[in-house]
Amino acid sequence: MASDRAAFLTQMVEVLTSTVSFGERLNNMVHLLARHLKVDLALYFALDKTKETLFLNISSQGPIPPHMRVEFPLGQGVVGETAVTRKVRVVHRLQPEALSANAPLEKLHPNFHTLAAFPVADDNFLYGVLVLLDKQDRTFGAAERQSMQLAGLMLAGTLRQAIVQEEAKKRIAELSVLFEVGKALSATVELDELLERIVSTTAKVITARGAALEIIDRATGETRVSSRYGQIPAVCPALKEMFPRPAKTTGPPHFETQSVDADGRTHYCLAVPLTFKGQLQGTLCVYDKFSPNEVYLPFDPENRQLLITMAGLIVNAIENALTFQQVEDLAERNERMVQNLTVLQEISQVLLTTVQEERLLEMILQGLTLEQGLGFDRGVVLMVDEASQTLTGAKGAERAAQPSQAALPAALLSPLPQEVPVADWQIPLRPDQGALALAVLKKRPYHYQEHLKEPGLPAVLPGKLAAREFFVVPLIVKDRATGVILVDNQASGRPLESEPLNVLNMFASQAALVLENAHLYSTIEANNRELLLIRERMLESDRLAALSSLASGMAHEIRNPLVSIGGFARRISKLVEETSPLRGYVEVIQEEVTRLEKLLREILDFTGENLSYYGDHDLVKLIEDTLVLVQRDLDAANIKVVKEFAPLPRLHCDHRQIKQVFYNLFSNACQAMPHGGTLTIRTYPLEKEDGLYEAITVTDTGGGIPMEVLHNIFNPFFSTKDYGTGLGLAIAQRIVSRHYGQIEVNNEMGKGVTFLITLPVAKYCLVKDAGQNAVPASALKAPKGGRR
Amino acid sequence: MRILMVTPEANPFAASGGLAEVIYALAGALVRLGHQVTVALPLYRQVRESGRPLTFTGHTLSIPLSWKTLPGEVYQAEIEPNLNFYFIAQDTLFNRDGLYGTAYGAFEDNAERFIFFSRAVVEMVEALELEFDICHAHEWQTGLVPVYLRTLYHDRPRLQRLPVVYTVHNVGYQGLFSSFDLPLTGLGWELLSPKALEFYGKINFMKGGLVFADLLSTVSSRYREEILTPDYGFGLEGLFQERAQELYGILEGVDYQRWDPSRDPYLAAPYDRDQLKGKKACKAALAKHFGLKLDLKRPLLGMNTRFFERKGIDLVENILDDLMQLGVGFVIQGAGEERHQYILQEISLKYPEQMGLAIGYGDELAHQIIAGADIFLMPSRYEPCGLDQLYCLRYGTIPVVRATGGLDETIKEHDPGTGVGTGFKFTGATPTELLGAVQRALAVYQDGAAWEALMQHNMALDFSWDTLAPKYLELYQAAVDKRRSLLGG
Repeated sequence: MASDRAAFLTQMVEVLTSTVSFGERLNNMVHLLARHLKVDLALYFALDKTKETLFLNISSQGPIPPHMRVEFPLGQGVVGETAVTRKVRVVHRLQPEALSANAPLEKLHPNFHTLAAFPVADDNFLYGVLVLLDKQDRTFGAAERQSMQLAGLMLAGTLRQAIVQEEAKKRIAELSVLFEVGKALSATVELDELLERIVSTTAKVITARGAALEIIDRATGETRVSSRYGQIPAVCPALKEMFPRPAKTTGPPHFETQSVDADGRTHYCLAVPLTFKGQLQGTLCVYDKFSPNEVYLPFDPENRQLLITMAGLIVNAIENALTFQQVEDLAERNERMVQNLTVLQEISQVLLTTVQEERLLEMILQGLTLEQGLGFDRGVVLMVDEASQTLTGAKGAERAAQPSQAALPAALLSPLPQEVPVADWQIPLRPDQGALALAVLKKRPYHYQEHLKEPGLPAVLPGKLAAREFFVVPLIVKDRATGVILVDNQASGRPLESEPLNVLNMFASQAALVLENAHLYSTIEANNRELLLIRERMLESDRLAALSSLASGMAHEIRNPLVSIGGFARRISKLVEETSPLRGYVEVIQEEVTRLEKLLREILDFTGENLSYYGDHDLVKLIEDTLVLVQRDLDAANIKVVKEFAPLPRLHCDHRQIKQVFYNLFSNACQAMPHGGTLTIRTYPLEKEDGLYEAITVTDTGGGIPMEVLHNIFNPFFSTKDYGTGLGLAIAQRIVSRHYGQIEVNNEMGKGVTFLITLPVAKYCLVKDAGQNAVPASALKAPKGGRR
Repeated sequence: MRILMVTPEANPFAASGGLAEVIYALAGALVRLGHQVTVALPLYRQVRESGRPLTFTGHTLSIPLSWKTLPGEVYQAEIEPNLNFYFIAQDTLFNRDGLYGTAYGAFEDNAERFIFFSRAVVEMVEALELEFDICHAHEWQTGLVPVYLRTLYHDRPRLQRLPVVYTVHNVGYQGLFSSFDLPLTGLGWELLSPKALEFYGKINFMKGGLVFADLLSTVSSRYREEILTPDYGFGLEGLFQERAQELYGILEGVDYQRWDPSRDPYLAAPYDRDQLKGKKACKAALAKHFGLKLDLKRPLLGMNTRFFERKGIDLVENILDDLMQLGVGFVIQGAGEERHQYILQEISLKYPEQMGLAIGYGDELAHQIIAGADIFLMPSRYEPCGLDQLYCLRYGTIPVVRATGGLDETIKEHDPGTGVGTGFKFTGATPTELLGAVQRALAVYQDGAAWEALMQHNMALDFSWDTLAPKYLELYQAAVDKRRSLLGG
């Protein structure tokens, strides 16, 4: 008996230490034990992974056909109880409840009488329960029980070894998977390629039909990148299911789902989160595990664990690749920036070659539309008109159909290929006038897009500007918007991107500067011309002042002897016979003296030596009185007089001097129309911002004043006539200005000249006139003060 | 043709079953037809103990296995001109008692062992710059050879153009291993798919061979048909159906150099169909060997088998009591599952004078049983080809077989009325049908003349390799043609 046991134990140890597979070792052990204890049947029930059920794993009678597979929940039957107590238990058929509790075992051994169950456990784990069945009523002695216990330990040892080895293999397998993934990850830094590798490798190692990876920007919720492999459904539900993570989940986060398609096939999906340090999160998702019989399998916990580990591995690689991509983007952007700056620099060099606004506008438009330049399809420059507060089209151009082959600087100088008429673009500078006006008012660029409500299109533009989108940037100089540049890509339909907008902005500030410079330059030129003119006039006026003082001195010196000569001449003429040959001489002396006296009077009038005679006078009467003086000349020259007199209040003036003005003007008119014509005299009240004026126009039909002399007509001693003193208009102007009025000339070449005289009406005149009904005082407004 | 045979066993170096015999005989027949044959084997302990001189080639291959690399030394032995053996030596894997396992079962690391061997063979061809026209791989143990040739080593011109034929000797042994063993192969995870190596979550070495080899064969036409069905396909029937056009059924043959009663050195006395007296001496010697007290007029039943249910050992166990009641003798030699050993031991202890049991397998005894028995039992549940029934025919031992695979193809039911047929067959795998077939045989045995006529008829049949090797050559040529066309000319 003892030798039997020794042989049994020897064999058991032999099996235990053999190199055959674990399953076979266990089979052999169960079988040996059954033989040694001479029982009909030995069964090993293994505790399953959930640790809730014990299922028949090994029978001493060989392979277990499917219908013989029995299992016991923990705690049920001898098997279940032994698993809980870890104590050997022997039950006999006739014991109460022995049969009912262990009914499933009947299937395997219909006539068992003895059931002996003992735990297969080491000092830590319970692996299962070994059950011996025999048709005899058996009791097991101490030696047999010891054999059972030893067998249990050996089984446990083998199982432990199997588990350890399986774990090790699994780890190695996982490592090799991860190694493969790692190889795939390290093979590239190109993001797209990397993602492709990740999903294809993932699908392969999990043997899934498809895999997908998606990364979203946590801040915006937009998909940053995604990659797909194999056959997968269009939408992965995982992302929104997993973030934010449901609070009640335990263990590492994951998401599993299954669905049935139209053909009745069940599809499975397993997803794990990718968690990044930054503002990103994503999922790695696999679909439908393959099986040989074309039915998809659900993913098991090992797949899940592997996927989770892989997710941890790939996150860094993806992050690196994303960073790399950003750096690359940045480098690319920098390169483009350098390119753009080069273009801008070239354009600005060319722009500096001129200060002519027209040329500059052409160059600017070339720069906007040339392929070598900014490359927009169309460009328009609009300038602000400060006076009218409108934005007015200055120039526009479209891109040439045939791109220019010339280098940028040369191409910029070439004429515009196709101008866009923009002169009628008049946009009031109000905030409700759309993007262009807003660009000026807010001094910032706008990107107009048809589908966006704000900013809208200016009211005047629809029909003229058919663009779905355009950029408009202000031309800003010293914090003042002087105009805008508008560009679009309407012709080619290319979308407008934000990068060109930046370049355009830089370009606009350059353009603004050169345009402003050009503008300033032209202003300076004009001012310079004006100053020269003023300087000339001032020199002349100094000369005149000296001349008039000399003239007045001389006139006084000459007047006294002339009076004597005239008086003596008259006396002589009375003494000379009518028929005397001396008579003619005397008359000549008299005429010449009269002429000299007149000249002297005029000189003294001009130099202002005469006294003034101010009073309130009716202007129309003064005109009528003067007309009488020239009636002879008018008739002689056959000149028709047209009078259009409006009722006017009285005028406080020196009637002699005013009459002198009219006399001069009428005389000039007569002289301008030696062969007849029409003299039109109009009077009317004129309201200026500083009060009421009386206006008198004197119009002739004498063909006008030649342009070359026009600017001289108010100069003293300027005359186009052989016998004139050249003082007529100069005196007239002097008198009018003494009355705080103005005299203007409106010359219409080929027709005639109109002189406009405006004289202020003193306030008190209006009051005086009120009672005389000349003009309703209420209708008129007197100037605030007589003098200014 | 230069032929590379990759096999887990081959005579005269390492044998555990019929395959070793088949390889050696096929190789011999091919050499006789003027071809060069090289056989690649693992260098098992058995090989070292075979006593034949081995020569180290000087080449040591480095074979990666997952994270480690093991050296594989290449040894060589020339059996005869044009028949060369190469051995892959790696003592931690192959220097063991058994080829595939021990009495307690298969080695736990068989995946690693044959991954190593398969890869080493492929590496060897490349490293030694061996020129072959065809590679012929056998059984699950070499299933990865086609896989390596067509995947991992596909870019080596020498290996790329090497056509490979894969022969399945038994679909029941596919080489199934945990998918966690995949890293050992060095193959990509994409091969762990149902379209390649994966088989219900495991790795299936045979499947690899079936998927990647240029042409496939199995060992009888009948078995070829059977494996297209779920009953015999063991889950691979779909794949067999898919490649049915490229799946050939070629019988295995008999090496009559070794299996001829007229010159069999193991026999107590030689005999032939004209001189049957020697067979009686053999029977007497066999009875004596097992210590049976048997009237030599009583029929002696014999079996060389392995103790597995697929060999129908359980059917035999079930009818042994009945047979013993009939007063026949029974000798059986074999090894296998302990369970059956014990049952057989118990029964043999019950009938020590009638029944002889030899645990283990000896070539000598195998010859003696086939020569000494009158009736030979082969109640296999399936039998791809089976050779013992063919030996029996030549030895005048009448086979009782189940009608399956090669047994069904090579044995024709004997009709006592017409005298046609070579043996006795039964269809249902039940003890009753087996017993029925044995009883039919015993009935004929009673008629001495008819029995002798049957023996003599059978002994004249020819199942030699020389008739079968040309069929393999045709298969090789087809594979060569296919490979060439695949590579574009």
